[in-house]
Amino acid sequence: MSTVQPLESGSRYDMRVGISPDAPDEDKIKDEEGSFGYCHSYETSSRYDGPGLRLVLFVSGCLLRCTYCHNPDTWHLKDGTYVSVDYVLRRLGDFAPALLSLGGGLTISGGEPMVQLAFTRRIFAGAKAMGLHTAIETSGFLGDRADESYLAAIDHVLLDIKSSDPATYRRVTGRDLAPTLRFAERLASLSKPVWVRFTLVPGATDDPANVDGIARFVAPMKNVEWVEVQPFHQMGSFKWKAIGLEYKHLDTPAPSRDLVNRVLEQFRAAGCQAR
Amino acid sequence: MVDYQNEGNKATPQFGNNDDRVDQIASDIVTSFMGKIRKHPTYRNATHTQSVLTITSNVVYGKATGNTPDGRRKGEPFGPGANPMHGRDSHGWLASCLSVAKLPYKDAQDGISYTVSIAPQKAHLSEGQLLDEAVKAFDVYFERGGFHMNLNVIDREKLEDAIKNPDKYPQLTIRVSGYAVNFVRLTPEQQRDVISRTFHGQI
Repeated sequence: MSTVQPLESGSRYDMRVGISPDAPDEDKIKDEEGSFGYCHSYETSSRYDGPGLRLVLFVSGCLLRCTYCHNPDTWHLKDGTYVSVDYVLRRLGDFAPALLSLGGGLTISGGEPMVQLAFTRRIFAGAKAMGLHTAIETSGFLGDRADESYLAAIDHVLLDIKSSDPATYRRVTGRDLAPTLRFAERLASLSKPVWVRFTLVPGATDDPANVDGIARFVAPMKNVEWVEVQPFHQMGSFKWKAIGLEYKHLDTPAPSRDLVNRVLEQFRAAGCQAR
Repeated sequence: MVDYQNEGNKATPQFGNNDDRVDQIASDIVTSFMGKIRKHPTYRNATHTQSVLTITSNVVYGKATGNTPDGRRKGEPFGPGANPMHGRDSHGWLASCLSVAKLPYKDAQDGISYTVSIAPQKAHLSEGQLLDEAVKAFDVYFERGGFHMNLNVIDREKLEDAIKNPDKYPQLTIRVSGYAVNFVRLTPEQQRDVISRTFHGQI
């Protein structure tokens, strides 16, 4: 049984491992209640995680193993801090009045929020009760788990579409592409506001055909307001070494300005609003 | 040499994260200290005031102070003015300023100095939008009781470069704590103090 602790000290960029050694594996969690959950960190003033100034909660646990992940210390529940949902909502309440004045909201990111569906469901519900705008950052891989009521409490989805080619997707994430596409189509049918995220990794995801595939898939979706191109960076590479993981991107450069522009143009040419 | 051992867990709340458990202590110190000052008769019945302000004395006081129970090591500077200690406001600008806004101005009428350094990141906003958003954010701080904010919009790398190549930056001016100064004219210790302060990602 993991020890319940408050989630204090330290930013989203810090590395944290081994805090809850008794935690279940992220693919074995069976929590129906959602009274407790595992979290990595939180940030109170982000403009990069949805519309407006947002409080972002980074939960632990992810089933993908992206080769370029900049937070591999969010993969395992064991590396997270075991917190109660009451604690999370109390802290959210400390910031809610300011977030409401600023027209911001709460974003749950991670890790993959849908790994801890019951826990994040309760947080979204609590945030809505405070009148806050809610957003989720997800790969969509577990989208089939998100039932109507879960999605109803989420105002905005930041959907990470890592590739349009199933082979590339598997190579880069270790998982299947199809669930993400299915989830995207479902969000389109619900007219749920979405920003699509694409991580541009030179040598891994930058193939023009790969980008075109995403662009053509997304362009007809009227609910997708923006496609955001996220350039690869090395800020998380120290974590791979510290954890003892084999990092394939030691020599991968950040994409050049020209490459970023080429990719943006591809999205725009297909009819997407891209930035 | 005196040292302290923290027997609590690593999650002891720190000032600068909008957590009442610790922010209340900071407010209480301002109020109780003011209470003690008010007990003394003043020359010509002047009004007692205090300020929460250091200018550069946070560096000098730090040099003269040993290890403190929060983990600060002997000789290290204190935070300037009302600032949370360097790096301890680790959850973003909003958390930091909401903590500082709780300090009661009515018990520190000589001023409460809060210096903020923010990296200039645009986040898809135009200049005009950035300004509007920043003004809204500052309004929240002042509405919550914030008294003063010294703002630096600069990234740490530029300051580090200025230390190595002062000739490149003859006019680089930064706000320290209630006043602005030419950065390359500060002493090395004062420069290190400024650089070690928290730089918030965005506002």
